Amino acid sequence: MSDSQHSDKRPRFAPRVTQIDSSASTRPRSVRAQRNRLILGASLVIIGIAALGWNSFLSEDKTIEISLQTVSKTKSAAIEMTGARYAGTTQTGKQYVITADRAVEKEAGSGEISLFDANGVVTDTRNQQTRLNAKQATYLSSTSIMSLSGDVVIYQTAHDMTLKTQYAEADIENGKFDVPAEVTIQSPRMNLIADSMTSKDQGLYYLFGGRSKLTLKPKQADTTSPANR
Amino acid sequence: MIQVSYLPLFFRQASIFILALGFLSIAGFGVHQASAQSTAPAQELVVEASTSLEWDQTEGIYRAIGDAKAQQGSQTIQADELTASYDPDADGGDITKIIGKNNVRFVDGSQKGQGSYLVYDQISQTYLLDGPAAQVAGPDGTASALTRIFYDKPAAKITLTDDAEIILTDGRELAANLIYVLLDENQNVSKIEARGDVKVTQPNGQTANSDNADYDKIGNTALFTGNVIITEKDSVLTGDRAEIDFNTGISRMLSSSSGQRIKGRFTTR
Repeated sequence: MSDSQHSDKRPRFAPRVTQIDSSASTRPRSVRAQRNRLILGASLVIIGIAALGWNSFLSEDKTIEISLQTVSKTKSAAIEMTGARYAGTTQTGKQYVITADRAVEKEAGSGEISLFDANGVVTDTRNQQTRLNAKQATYLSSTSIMSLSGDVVIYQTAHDMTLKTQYAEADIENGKFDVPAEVTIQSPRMNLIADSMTSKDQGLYYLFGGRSKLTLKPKQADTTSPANR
Repeated sequence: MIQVSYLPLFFRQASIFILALGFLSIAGFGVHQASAQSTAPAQELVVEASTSLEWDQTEGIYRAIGDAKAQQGSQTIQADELTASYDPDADGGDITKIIGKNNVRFVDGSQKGQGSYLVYDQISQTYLLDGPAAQVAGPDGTASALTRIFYDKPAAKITLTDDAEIILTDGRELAANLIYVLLDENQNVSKIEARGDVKVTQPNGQTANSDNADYDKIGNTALFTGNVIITEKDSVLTGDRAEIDFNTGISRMLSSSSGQRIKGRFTTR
């Protein structure tokens, strides 16, 4: 964790730098250079996504905003960042904002990164949002699996629908979403509780495991949905 | 000092978080929020299962496995496996059909049924119950059939196909190849029409066999037609038409339009 934060004002998208590991490289770089690297990084993000077959989600010609409060390297070679914020617009016009109080890459090049107190919002062209909250989100690039844990909440404004669980896994490459823990889904039209959940086909198929209870409410009760307002 | 070279990796990883969000957004777990059919008054539909509950939005189905139960108001359908389907392209995704497999039971008001396979059409509000051992029960008794039982709720009509049998609560039994049960507004039996190899057995041992029989509950009488044989102990009446008044216990053999003679054999002790 950072113990020597700089208080000097920097451009919006430049991270403030914290030095913890004295053995780390100390080659100076200007703020402008850092910013350029961030832009390059953003481009690499696009490439990475395209490689995963998700090129429809992000667009190279759209603006991506990135900001950090601090970036530091620990003695265990982990990279820690605080106040991470990542925002942009997808090719299909969806706006997204990801924030995390703290982000930790296990070690350089490990391909494992954890976001703590992570929040994400995707806003589509109709101004409908999908919001995600989790105490921790960990992604392992070798498996393309993202694990979400601790008060995981996914909310869709379009259907006024909320999914809650304590643990979930998203298999990005295969388009699967697994919840191996009790899960609830609530909306003005539906209540569902199950011991577990598996989703595939980009969310068109769901399998709820264990004891499951689905309540489908009649149409006329659907008066509170934001979509109907 | 900051290791700038790590930033691309971090943001590539962070982008995965976005992808997860995007995935979930695409997933749209409420894309087809099925609802109970909008019958008046509309009531919520509850589907439960002990093993799994499948939701296929492409096919437009919910499949509940293991002690599956679907309940809507006074209607309940239970089975080892239940599949509720809706039109995935239709607005609202109303449930249109429920199929039950193995150990199927249903309750609809005062009517109950059981069998090995059930199709409930939510639009027409009809139950198709397949055997073996398909059975329905109401306030007036139980009905069974070898092949299938069809309960048309709006028409208040139950059709029993193949080796059909009705046992009324007063002990009378009716068997035939095909039986239609017409219900009144309280789901009580109002009429019964039996076709093919009809046999009525009364608690006192009297039996009536015929090709067809029509029972009117209000009058508590039955008209038998075609090869009628009424047997009570050792006495036998045969003819083409007969009427039994269950109130008085009097059986009358009627002359037929074809002029067939009535025959009787009475044994006195």
